[in-house]
Amino acid sequence: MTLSQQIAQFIASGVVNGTIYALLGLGLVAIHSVTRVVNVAQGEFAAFGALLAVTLMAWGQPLWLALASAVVAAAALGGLIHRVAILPARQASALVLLIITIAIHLALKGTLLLLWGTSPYVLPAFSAGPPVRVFSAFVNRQSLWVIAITLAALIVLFLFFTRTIRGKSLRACAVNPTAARLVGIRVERMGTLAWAIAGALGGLAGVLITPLTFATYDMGLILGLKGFVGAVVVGMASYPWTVLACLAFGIVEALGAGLISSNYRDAIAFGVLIAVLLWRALAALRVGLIISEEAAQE
Amino acid sequence: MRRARAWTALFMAALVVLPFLIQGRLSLSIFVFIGLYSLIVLGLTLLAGHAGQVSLGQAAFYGLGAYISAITTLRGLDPWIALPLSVGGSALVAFLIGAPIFVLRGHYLVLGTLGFNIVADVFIRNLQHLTGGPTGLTGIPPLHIGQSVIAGDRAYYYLTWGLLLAGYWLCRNLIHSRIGRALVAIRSSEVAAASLGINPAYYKGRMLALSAGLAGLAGALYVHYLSFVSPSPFAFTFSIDLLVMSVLGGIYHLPGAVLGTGILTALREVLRTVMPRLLGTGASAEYEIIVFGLLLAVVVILSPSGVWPGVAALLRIGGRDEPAKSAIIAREIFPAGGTTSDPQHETAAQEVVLEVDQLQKRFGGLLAVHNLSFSVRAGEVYAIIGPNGAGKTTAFNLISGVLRPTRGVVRLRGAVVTHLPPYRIAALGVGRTFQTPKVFGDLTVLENVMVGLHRRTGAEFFWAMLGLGRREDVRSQSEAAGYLQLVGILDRANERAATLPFGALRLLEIARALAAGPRLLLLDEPASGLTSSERAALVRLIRRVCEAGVTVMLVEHDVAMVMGVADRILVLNYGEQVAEGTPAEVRADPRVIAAYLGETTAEEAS
Amino acid sequence: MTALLQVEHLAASYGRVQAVRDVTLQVNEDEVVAIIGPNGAGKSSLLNAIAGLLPSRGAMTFAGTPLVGRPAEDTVRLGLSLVPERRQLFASMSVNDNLLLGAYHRFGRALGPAIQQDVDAAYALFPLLRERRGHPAGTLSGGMQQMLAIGRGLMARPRLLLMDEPLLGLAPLVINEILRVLADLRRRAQALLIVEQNAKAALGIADRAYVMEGGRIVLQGTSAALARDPNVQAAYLGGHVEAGPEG
Repeated sequence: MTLSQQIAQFIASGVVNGTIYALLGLGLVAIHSVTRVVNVAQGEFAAFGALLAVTLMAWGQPLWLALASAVVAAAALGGLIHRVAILPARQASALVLLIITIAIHLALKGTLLLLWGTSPYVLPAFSAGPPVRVFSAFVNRQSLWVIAITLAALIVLFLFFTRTIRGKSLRACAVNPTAARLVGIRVERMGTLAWAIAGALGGLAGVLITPLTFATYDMGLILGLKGFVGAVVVGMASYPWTVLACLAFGIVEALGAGLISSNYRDAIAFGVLIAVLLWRALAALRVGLIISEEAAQE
Repeated sequence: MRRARAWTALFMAALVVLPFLIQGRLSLSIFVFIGLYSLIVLGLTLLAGHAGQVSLGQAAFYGLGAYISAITTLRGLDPWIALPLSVGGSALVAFLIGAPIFVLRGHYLVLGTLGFNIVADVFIRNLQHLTGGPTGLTGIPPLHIGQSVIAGDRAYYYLTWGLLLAGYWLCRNLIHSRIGRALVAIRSSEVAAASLGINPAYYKGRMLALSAGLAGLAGALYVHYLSFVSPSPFAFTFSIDLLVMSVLGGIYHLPGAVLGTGILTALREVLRTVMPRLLGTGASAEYEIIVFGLLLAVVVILSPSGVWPGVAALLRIGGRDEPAKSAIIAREIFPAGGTTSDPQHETAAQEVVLEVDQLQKRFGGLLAVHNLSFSVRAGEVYAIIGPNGAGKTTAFNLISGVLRPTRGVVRLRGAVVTHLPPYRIAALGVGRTFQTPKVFGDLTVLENVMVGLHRRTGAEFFWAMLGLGRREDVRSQSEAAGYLQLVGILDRANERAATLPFGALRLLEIARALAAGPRLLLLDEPASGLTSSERAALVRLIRRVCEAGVTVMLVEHDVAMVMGVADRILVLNYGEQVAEGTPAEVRADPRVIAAYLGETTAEEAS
Repeated sequence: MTALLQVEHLAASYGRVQAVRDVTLQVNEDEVVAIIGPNGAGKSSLLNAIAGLLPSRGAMTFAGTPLVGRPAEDTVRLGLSLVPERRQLFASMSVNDNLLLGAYHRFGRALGPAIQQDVDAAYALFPLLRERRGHPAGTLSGGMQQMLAIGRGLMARPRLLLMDEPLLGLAPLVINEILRVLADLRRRAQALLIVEQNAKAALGIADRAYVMEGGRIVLQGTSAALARDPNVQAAYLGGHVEAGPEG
């Protein structure tokens, strides 16, 4: 392969990884914008979804049904966690809430280990066939499914947030919780919905990626972290920017791993993150972002 | 106090005899590890609890210290020199990473340290020629005293716990010093701390370095204990474990570091040995993780301050040390007609202390302040009034550096200060209070004022850790008491600031601001929320402050009060100046009356 | 005329500060009532307490139903809608979405067309908003934001509309616009309770008014009577009564 073909290949694989990170990043943003929590356990939704889908298929369910059920189950798990662990602690500080999600991460991971053990599991590819040529890269069919289904999910999400009143009310909670209450939105219930959406997105990421790489009980944390990177770099606020940032992150990671060294894959990815954070910090110093809790307007 | 000392003595005695007590029954090595981990968690508790900065990268600093010591001693460096090198190296790296990132908010530090941990892990595994890669390095020379080698569980047990206790002592001194108070101030309200001249980023960076140094020390001890090092203990999952240990024990309490570490490590061992016996299978690892998760969740939800406060209550140890009451001397710092603080702060009468020129602040589409120009002369009381939304507090925020103007210049005694950060402006002699009082709730009233003295005292980190700042602290206490007496709340000196009634909070803020020795004091709506007798007392206080040579600027809604205390008044409306003059002039000015009571026709185009 | 809103000896605190000490007032159907007074008097806190954003003690009923202890999400369903101080729009969401969300509690019970009708009515009341229906609310000028906030408040079809400082920070010409809208609402027999610092404007539009100072009601009466009362000026500017140009 020539260099440009290689690069195209890396970019292709980066895009696929990036879409997975984007699904997780979106879940993180949904949770953070509505409930102000940084969810360290986001990746566990992916692990749960993946492993559950494998089991459902082993029990005889057809592939598509298993996938759909797993995503729904992950959504239910998300909502349940919000009701049981987050809502009771909603007056607590951000640090305490972070620790609670760490606890949830540990508890979920342990449960997954208990139920599924340490072995890797596989899902079959969604359709059979040889890899497809896209520009100068060869992309296997599962990767195309990943991109296509994610795209569909993003469209559904977009329509939900912009066309339905429930989606708008969810956004409203994130934008201005006081005003949301004034028009009658029950902010706590919206929190549960946000967590359920995050669970669904995480579960979807898990089932999409498992045909490409194995699913294990501990696959969650690093996945969630990478989604977090994309979300945080753009400020944990905007859905479209999070998707773009996660895609960019995936591509940078793939190019770094491919061109420099695959051993250094994670180092490059997070090294880039640290560089971006430092750059933002220095830029803030120059422009003069003052540490002020309330930029008090009179 | 005495009970705490008794329990401490008991604890230390138990530590000393422990190896003999458990000989033959339990392995001592787990206690060595508890000691090592406690060193790291001590630093983390200090950082996360006291300074309010959560780091998920401590395992990397642990590893950094380990590998620095391993690599240098394998190349012939004396281990006793490698030890401080590990400490310093970890601290330096932490400082370089942390210092810029601290300008941003909490999540970024968590992410940055976590990312650093991952990067460090990858480098350790891949720089084979240096670190031995995934298989690690063996044959690391042990520590030695003279000819005798320090090896084995018992030796490292005593060494580790000895260093841990030393570290604990240093950290405790730090917490009780002026640095410790500054950290609590930063954690409570960075804006208020900055208004007293404290630079938050400076302190946060150094705290990260300190915590990294402690972790590095633990790492160095680890490699000499085991004579072996590999990358696996330093993965970011361990950083998460460390945070769990810290939170479990109690993130705001140093003893919690040891307690939490002990509980979690012991629990892990119990699960590893007991569970297989109970359940027959090799299922311990899963249960361990689940149990940790549930335990953590339960503790955090039910008792967010961790396990230590409960234990302390059980042992009937007081929550915190109280400053020696004898140090509170009711001294008359301000005899009638006398002056306050440094002579250097006396300014010639009629000198222009503050000059504001064409100041403008735009928030997106909203022009909050427009074309503001005025000057304030030394020794006067200058008030800014205006209806709601007129831009008064915005003006204050622009002067004190909390906000940056879109246009215009602010000068302090001739020097341009427009784009300086708030802690620099405070250092140049500007003090302020806030619309809603930002006192440091976890400190006592007296300690709050002592934070005000921060810039005028000097015990720095190392000095403070060695406990050498005590004498200065005693002096600070009596000086702070003087300010408390000036504002009239000396009787509440030892109460926790968060418990104060509202009027007292305002007075505390003023006392604290005065303690910094400002030339110019900005009071932001000091009368709001006060009863009428409290307002009268406030007016008298402002007059006394003025007599002592401090120029006072006031933003207020209570126009009656302002009329009674101000020398000159500036009236704002819609962000622009409407009138300026003496109270009599302003009261009679029809434009002012119109501004307040409202004009429905556009009489005066603003 | 039955009392729509009845408030008796209400007290409310913001943390440590006792913002509302002892307030008794009432608003009847088809009435426009104003609460005026200097800043810091507790007027906004009073409205927040009535709307359910601030916990309170005392007695409050709305059309017979007790209000104390009811959170904001519930009071709006009773027919009490608040247009908050500084508007509190959903700044990043479109003008149209802001209006739709105003009717949130009616979705499910009301039919889509009824709500769309109300949106059209809002645009009829505020034609300038229709031109900007797709724009984010935060990009609007101050006056238009206020109109949008009022429109959003009306979308809940409230029996009583509470307004907190609707004229705050607005230029005089824009104030006239808003006052015109308020007059229009008054003509349509929409009950209003308006908190306003701008005494002249408020008295010009209201039937009755209360003057609040230091958390209590210090004066009350018809707006005509209060407009002539020199004590009103004293309440604002403090101290003695001047025989000044505005009286």
